[in-house]
Parts: sequence; structure tokens; C-alpha cells
Amino acid sequence: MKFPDLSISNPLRLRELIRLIRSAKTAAEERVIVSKELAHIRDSFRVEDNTWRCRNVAKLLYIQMLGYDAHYGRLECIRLIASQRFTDKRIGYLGVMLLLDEKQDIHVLITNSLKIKVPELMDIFLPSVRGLITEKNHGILLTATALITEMCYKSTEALQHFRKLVPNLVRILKTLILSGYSPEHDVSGISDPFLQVRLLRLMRIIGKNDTEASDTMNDILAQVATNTENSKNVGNAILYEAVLTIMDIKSESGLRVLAVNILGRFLINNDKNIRYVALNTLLRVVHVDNNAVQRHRSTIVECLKDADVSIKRRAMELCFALINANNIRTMTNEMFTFLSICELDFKADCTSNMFLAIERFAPSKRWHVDQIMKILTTAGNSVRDDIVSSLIGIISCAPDLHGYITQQLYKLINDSITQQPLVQVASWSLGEYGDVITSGQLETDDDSAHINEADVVNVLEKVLNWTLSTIVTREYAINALMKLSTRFPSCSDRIQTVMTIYTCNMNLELQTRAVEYTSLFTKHNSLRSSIVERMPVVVNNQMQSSVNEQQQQQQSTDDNVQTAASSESSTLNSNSKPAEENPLHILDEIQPVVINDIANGNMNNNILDLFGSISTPVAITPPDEFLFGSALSTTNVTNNPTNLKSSTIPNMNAIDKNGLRVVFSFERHAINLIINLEASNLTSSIMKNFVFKAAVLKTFNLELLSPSGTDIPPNNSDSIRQIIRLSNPNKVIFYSYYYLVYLMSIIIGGGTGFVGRRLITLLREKGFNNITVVSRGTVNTGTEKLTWDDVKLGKVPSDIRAIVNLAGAPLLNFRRRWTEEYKNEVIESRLGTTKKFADLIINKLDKKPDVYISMSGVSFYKPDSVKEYTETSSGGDYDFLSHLANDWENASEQIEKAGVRRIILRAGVVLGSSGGMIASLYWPFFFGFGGPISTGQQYFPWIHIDDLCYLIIYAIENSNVRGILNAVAPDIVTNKQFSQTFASSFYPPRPALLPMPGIVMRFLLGEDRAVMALEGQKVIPQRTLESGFKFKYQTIKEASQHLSRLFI
Amino acid sequence: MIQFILLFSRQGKLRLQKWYTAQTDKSKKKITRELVATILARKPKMSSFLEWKELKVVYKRYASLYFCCGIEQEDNELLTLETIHRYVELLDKYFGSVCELDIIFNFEKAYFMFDEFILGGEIQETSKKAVLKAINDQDVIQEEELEEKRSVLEDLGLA
Repeated sequence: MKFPDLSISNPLRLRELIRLIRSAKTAAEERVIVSKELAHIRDSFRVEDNTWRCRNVAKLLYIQMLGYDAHYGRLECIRLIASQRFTDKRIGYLGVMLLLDEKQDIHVLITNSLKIKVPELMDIFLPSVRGLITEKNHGILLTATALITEMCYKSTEALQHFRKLVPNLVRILKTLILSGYSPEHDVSGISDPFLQVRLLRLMRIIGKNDTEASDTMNDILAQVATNTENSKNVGNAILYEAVLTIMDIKSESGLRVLAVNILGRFLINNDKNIRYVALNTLLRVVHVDNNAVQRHRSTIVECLKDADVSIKRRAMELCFALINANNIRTMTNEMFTFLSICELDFKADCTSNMFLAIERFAPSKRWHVDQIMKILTTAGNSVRDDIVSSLIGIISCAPDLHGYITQQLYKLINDSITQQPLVQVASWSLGEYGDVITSGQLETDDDSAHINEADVVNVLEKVLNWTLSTIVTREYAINALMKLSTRFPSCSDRIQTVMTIYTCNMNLELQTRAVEYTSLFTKHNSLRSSIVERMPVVVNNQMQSSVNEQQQQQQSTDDNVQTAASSESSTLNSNSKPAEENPLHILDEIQPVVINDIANGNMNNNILDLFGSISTPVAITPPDEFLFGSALSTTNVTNNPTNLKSSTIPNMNAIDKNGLRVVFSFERHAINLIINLEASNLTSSIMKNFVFKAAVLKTFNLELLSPSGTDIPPNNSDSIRQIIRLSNPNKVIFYSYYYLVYLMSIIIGGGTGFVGRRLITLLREKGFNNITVVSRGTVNTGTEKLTWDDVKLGKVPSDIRAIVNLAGAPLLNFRRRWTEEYKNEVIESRLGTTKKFADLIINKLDKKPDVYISMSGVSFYKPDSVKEYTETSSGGDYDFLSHLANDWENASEQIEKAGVRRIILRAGVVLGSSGGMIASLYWPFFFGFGGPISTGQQYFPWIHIDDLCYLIIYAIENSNVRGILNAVAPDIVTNKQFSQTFASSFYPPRPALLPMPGIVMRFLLGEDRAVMALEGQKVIPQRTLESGFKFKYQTIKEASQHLSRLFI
Repeated sequence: MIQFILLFSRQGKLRLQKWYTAQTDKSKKKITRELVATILARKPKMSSFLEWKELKVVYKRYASLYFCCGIEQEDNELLTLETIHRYVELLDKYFGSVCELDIIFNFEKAYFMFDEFILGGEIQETSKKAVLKAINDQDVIQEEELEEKRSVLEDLGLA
């Protein structure tokens, strides 16, 4: 016999341990006891001590239940099972059951091998199970029934097979009911309810969709349903199961009525559980037999007042299922009572359902609208958003009720403006039909005074100015006011004042509207009345249209307004109008505007930017011609009539951009002006398909003669000539724009990303309109789009001038953990796409592109506090990120070997307001919580997004640029300097006092990525500057000032 | 099929837990925490059933102890209440007027009881007598073993 090691004191008994743990006064105390004991147990396991193993495992099981980790007991359990002693085995099995399950490694093997064989096993069981059914022992019967049930669920063959067993089942059930008292199995006078329920359930499965089996069951089910004693829970459990079976199988109609009546009886039972079950079941059967359930309606309505929320909810659902055209009025009243007393979380569901029911069964439109307004006043703020829009749809469709509805709504919001959805509908109605109620045509049903125009405007202004109104409500209000500005001429000035005030509102949406509306008052007053006209009646099916309608309306109003309001700026966007449609028509209305160089100018004006982004999707261009446009300055071809007689007009450089030079020379013949156009190409590559188009005011006659060619040879070796004949019979001054048509296409990989989107905008401004984006994203960029598979298959435009590969999963994504999977995604999205382009260029393209531009990162260089890096410095062998950069750069080497000019931009942190780092830093800094990361002494290589994009464009345009360029700004700063500059560029300046500890960044980003934030390289853009590129944002101060100004 | 059975006190202390479907320790803890909190917050006039994720949860309180069962959609809630009651009856018979402390200190016995009564989430034996007999038989074997061991120790002069 082996004696226990005496160095280990006798372990605590299980009881003692439990007592000890229970005596612990605090959780901390408990933890100490438990961890001490766990240590003991572990020691004891380690010395393979058999004597106390059983006790230790038992203790472990207890400790595990308390929520501590006890997995290391698993192996000991298995040892216990192997023991000779029964006690050991017993505890061992218990431990195995509690500590192991089929998900654990040890178990997986066993169960997996079992699973494979299960279907085969089923066939073996089929005959033997039949034998089991004849057994007398309840335990065997019960488990056999359970097995058959499972088998029927799993296979239809088994189900077919067991259909034959129905008489047996019926017989067992019958014996069970009729047999006398058997104390062993009885539960309060009912013989073996567990077995009865099991049998009923099996009958349900077998009898479903099978008339013959159902017929056999009818009798016994009727017997169970009538004879079961229902004073106790256990009887009701059987009745409940019987009802389910009756409703599920093809039973007789009489039996069904009986079943629903049982449920009706359940509803008035004192036991809440039974009421709950009844409602739940009624909900299931209401679609099968609506009339039978309908009879219990009043009882169900009573259940709405139940104290139990789950019963209430079921009752509510059931009530809605019971509403039909006959009872809609009474039921609606019941529901209103419920709505006014129910808990808050019921209201949203209740109102939505009421809305649907009312819509479906409303006897009249007026009643319909009345009820919905009532819902809005009772449940107001819990109403879901879509109700507002659908109600507006309904109102819009009922022209004869406009006056009545608007009047009612006016009264309601005059009393209270707290119910936001109501206020929204009311604002909309007042905006549309405000003039109807003030005109006095309406007969008022009470003695309320005549509503005058100022009253309406007062209310709307109140809504707009009330601090608790939601933004959406205020948007409704501001639109309504605008609409009323023409309906109520007397209040027009007042409304204009309101708009002016809101042009400075903090909310972007309100501010935008206000600015637009203000310009409608001032610059485009003539358009105002037509823009704010009443919305047309929506004729579509209410149900479907109403949901979207409000949005459409809003949208169309907005569009109208925007087109007009932006006409001032539409010169900026004139490329969005087809040349054929006389792009100068706007000049009919407004004074000639001299346009700045937009590429540099428009970013200073965010409002204009907004307009710009709105009108871009309108861009209509002939399929294979792209306008080279907005960036061109207005060329003032002054033909002052008084000058007509004067001699010659000097030659003019109309266009000198991107290597294309167009020179005009003029000849005058009486009222005709002949313009000789000469276009030459200064770049090293040929320009194909050059077409010149022009459009003028209707008072002029323009004639374009055919050009001498369409392809401009490179290096200024030859030029295209074209004659333009212009006659000016009315002798007026004219201004003109020129558009260039340009066919070369640019492909941007990953063009839907942060840099890609900006690059597209800037390329367009520069005149490159033939842009194709390759992306897996679905963002609409307003350009041609391809997938990566298209690139792989070579389905790309034929004449590619440049490929810019910006693709790459973002590294600084705080929402993604730095996992292997994510790392692979990061690698694949860079190297994979590069390979695809390489394959495309080398193997698939007949004509190779001029230039391939790829991104890389300054992480190529090893972070260092002293060392300065230029493009020629070595690197790429330091950590994950530098290896990534190195591999990325090498991946495109083949492209260069294929004779394509390759440019690699090693970019620093890209600063831009719409994404990347600034997007995540903006708000902390805005609220004054921003600060440097870690010590802040690390270098912060940065570049403004516009500079990065301009650098890309510069690289496309200038054939002398090639190789690696550091895309970082020349202003070298540390993280701290950046933080401080960024914070102080806000108005008023924000502090940058709260440093973000390095550990937080490590936690957020993972070790590899944290390097980007915690360490930095001093990178000098030597080659970039040498190439002649001029940074627009040279210093961090300039960049910060631009970036901090998201709006205001 | 019963997915799990939890026994916990009014203070929210877990007393027994039996899982009939595989769950990770983490999700076990999560489920337990959520259910204990939800059930303890319910008022006495509320029904014993709650819908929880795709399961139905049936619970019943006996003195200071809550018995809570997670069952599937097809299962009969009312019968589950009976199942719980039957289990309590079994414990009561075994311990003789059972109380919470019995279950704390003899938790392994309470587990054995589960295993005799319920197998893989289905009731396996509806006869109270049969279940109790099985448990008693096993206890007897254990007793005999203990006797044996004691006599061996006595022989060695150690007891």
C-alpha cells in the first residue's frame, strides 16, 4: 500500500472547504481561499497522489461552479474513472460530465466518429424500436418515444415507417388514461403526464399532413381533451399538448373548436402561466381558425390589462391579429386605451401595428387620418420614423381633406410641440397647405378664432427655435417656413430674417438649407415661387409610396433649390452640363463671373464644395468624349463692338495645361470673326482623338470647320489646326468657355478609399475625366467601375495613360484587432493588387500605360530619433511594416522592367478631413481632449491629402518624374508639434494637454501597428522637391488650419 | 429537449448547473449571468416563462432557490414546470425535507439525481421509486467500500 506523501498535509475535506468558502465575507476573501486551495489541489495532482484524488476532484467541481477555472481537473477525472473504487468512478464520471462536453478536444474525436455513423445506425434501430413500444416499463416507453420523435425529425423515411405505429401509440395512450391509480407515476391524479405529453407530441409529428393517421387519432384526442382534469397545472400541460396536436394535424373541425375552447378556458384561468401559454398558442392558431379565436376576443382584450408584461405583449399581438373590417372601430378604441396605459417599450410596436391595421381596414379616409393623428398625440415620441412619412403620403393623397387636416394639426401643435413626429407632420402640412387654412374658406367646427398668417409662422418659428426639437423636426420646420414665404407674402420678410439667422447655425444641414434659401431670397428671387411650389399629389399605392415619399419630396425640393442656389457657383460645375446644350445659358441670368483658378481656390469655400459634390452625379458626357473643363479660366475674348473696326487682336494662349497648348489667332471680317486654332503637344507621348468643341449664346453664330487631324504628335513636333468662324450680328460682348475632349484614361486601384476619392475629385478638376476605378467597395464615385476580377481578366479600357494603385486595407483601423487574418488581408490587398496590375500590364495590354504609380510607406525606414532619410536611404528590413513596404515596392518591379515609367510614393501619415487619422482625431481635438501620443518626441512624417493627390497628378503629367519619391511634407515635425499646432488651429484654440499613453496605442493597435503611432522617422522629400513639385501645404500650420476647418 | 438546468439562490449564487448541449465556458458564464439577472428582476405576479434568444426559459422558485430550465420551442412549458417539480420532489424524498444547504454541501448527490432522472436533456425515468432506488443502490456500494477501507486501515492500526 502506498502511503500519502507526508510533506503534504492532509487536504481539507469537501465539506470543510465549502464551509470555509461560505464563511468568506467578501469576494476577495473568497478568491484567496479558492486560489490557495487550487494550489494545494494542483500540488497534490502533481505528485500523483491517489488517496485524495477523489476528494480533490470533488472540490474542483465545487470551485468550478463558483466560476473559477478548473479545467486542469479533466485528466484527473479520467484517472478516477480508471480507478477500482466505485466512489472514485462515481465522482470521476460526474467530473467528466461537468468538465467535458463534445466541444472539448478529447471529446471531439469520439463524437465525430459517432456522428458519421448516425444515419446508418438509424436503420438498425428502426425494427428494434418497434419492439420497445410494446414494453410495459414507463421509462423504456418514454425514452423509446423520445427516440422515435427524434428519428422522425431527422428523416422522412423513418416518419413513413412509424406511421404504421399510430394504432400502438393510441393504445398506449388509452391504457394510460384508463388505467387505475399507480402512485409511482402519477402526478396529482394524472397518470404519467410525462409519457402522455411525449406520446401526444409524437402523434403531432406523425399526424401532420396525413389524413389517415389523423383519423386514427381523432377519438383518443377528443378523449384526452374532454377527460383530462384541468384544475392543476399538470392537467393543463397535457391539454396544452393535446391542443397543439389537434391544431397541427388534419383533425375534424369539431375537435378544432373544442381545442380553441380549451384555450379560451385557459385565458380565464387564475394561473398566469396558463394564460400565457393560451395566448401564445392562440397566436399560433389564429391564422388557422380565425373565427374560432374571434369568439374569445373580449377575453383576449381583458388580457391587455394583465400585470405580466409577457402576457400583455402576447395579448397585444393577438389583438392585432384579430382586427378586421368589422371590428376595427371598437378594437381601435381598445388599443387606444391600451396605448395610453402601457409601458414605454410597447408603444413603438403598438403604434406601428395600429398604423398598419388602420390603414388596412379604415372605413373612410377622414377616420383614417383622425386615428393616426390621435396616435401621434397619444404616443407621439415613440412612433417610428416611417409613420411620419407615410402619414404625409396619405395627407398628400387626400386633396379634399387638406384644409381639415392642416387645421387640426395646427391646433394640435399650437397646444404642444413636444411630440416630435406630430410636429413634423404638422410642419410639413402647414408648409404645403398653410394658405388653405388662413384663407378663411374653411368652416370651423368650433368657435376657434380665425387663424391668420402670422400665427402659422409663429408656430413654425417656435418649432424651429425650440431647443428640444430634434434636428429632423427643425429641418421640416425650416422647409415649411420657406414654402410659406411665397404663400404668405406678408410674412416673407420675416421668414427671410429667420433664414439669415440660420445661415450661421451650428448644424450643417440647417445651415446649408438656410444659406440656400437666403440666396433664393436675394439672388434668385424670381425663381423662388416656382421652386417652393406645392408638391404634386402622390398617386401611387399609398402603402409603398408613402414610405419613401417624404424623402422624395424633400429631395426634389432640395434639388430645385440647389440648382438655383448654385447657379452662382455653377460656373464651377459647368463641366456637368453637356456642351451641346449651350453651357453659357446661365449667363443669361446672372452677371458674368470671373472664375478663379478652381484647383487652388475652391477649397477655401466649403459651401461651394458642397454644391460641387451634389451636382457631380449629373455629369452627362457623350459616351466616348470627356470634358476637360471646369479648370479652364474664362477666356475673355473681348469683341467690343466699338473695337470692331480697330485692327488686329493679339494672339492668345487659350489653354496651356498638362502639356497641351492651344493658341488662338484672330482675323476679322466685318461681323465675322475667324479664330485659328492651333493645338500642340508638349509631352513626350502622343495625344489621340483630340476634338475641339465650342458653344455660344444664341445671338452668335458659330461654325467649327473640320480640324487637320485628331492626333497630336509629341514633343511639339507638329500641331493640329482648326478654323472657327464666329459671327456676331447683334454686336454684343461675349464671354466664352472652351472644353477639351480627351480620351486617355486613368485607372485608379482602390479608388473608393480615403485618398482615392479625393484624387478623383482633384483629377476631375484638373481635367482628367476619363477615370476608371477598380475597387471591391461599392461606393459611388461617379466614375466607371471595375472589379479586381475584371483586371485579372484584362477587361479594362483600351487606352490607358496611367495606373495609380492606391489599394490597400487601411492599417490604422481601430475597429480591427491586429490578428493574423487581418495581417494577411493587409498584405494581400497590397501585394495581390500590385501583382494583378503587373500581370495586366505585362501580359494583357497591347499598349502599355505611360506610367504606373504605386503607394508605399515611410515605414520602409527604421524609426530613428536622429537619422535623416532620403529616397536613397536603405531600409525595408526592420519590422512587419517595413518588410511590407519593401515587398510592396518590389512587387511592381516587373512593371518597370516592361518599360513603364514607375513611381513609388513612400507616404507619411496622410492628413485629410474625410478619413484616415484626422477623422479619428478631429472630435477629441475639437472638444479639447486631444493630445500627443506617448512622449510626443517621435517624428511625425505627414502629408496633406491634397498634396499627395497633386503629387500623383504631377507624376502622371511630368514624364521626367520616375522612381521612388518620399511623399511627405518638407516641414519636419514631431508628434507633439503636430498635436499642438492642430489644437491651436481651432477657433478658439484648443489645448493639447492630454497625452495618449503608448500602452493604450499598443492595446488598440497591436504591437506591429503601434509603431506607426509611437515611433517615427525623419524623412526628407529630397527627390520630390528636386522633381520640381511644389507642396501646397508646406508647413504643418497651413495644413492644420485647413483641416481643423471641417465646417464653420 | 432541455438545453440546460440552472439552480441559483435568491442572491444570484449559482448552486448547480447542468448543460445538455455543448457550450464554451465563456458562453456558459454569459448565459448564466444574463438569466440570473433577468429572472431575479422579475416580479412574482409575472409568468414563469420567458423567451430568451431562440429558447424558452421556464423557471420556478422553491423557497430561496430558483430552478431554471432552458427548453426548445417545441417543448411544453407547463410540463417543464412539472419536470422541475418532480426533481424537487426527488430531492425532498432523498434528503428528507430538502433545503438549500443540502444542495450546497451535497452537490454531487444532486447531480447524481439529475443523471438518474434526466438523460441528454430528456426525462428517462418517470417513476420516482426507480430513480431513488438507483441512487440508493449506488450509495450502498459506496458505503460498503468505505467500510472496507476503514477495516483495512484498522488492520494496519491506523484508524
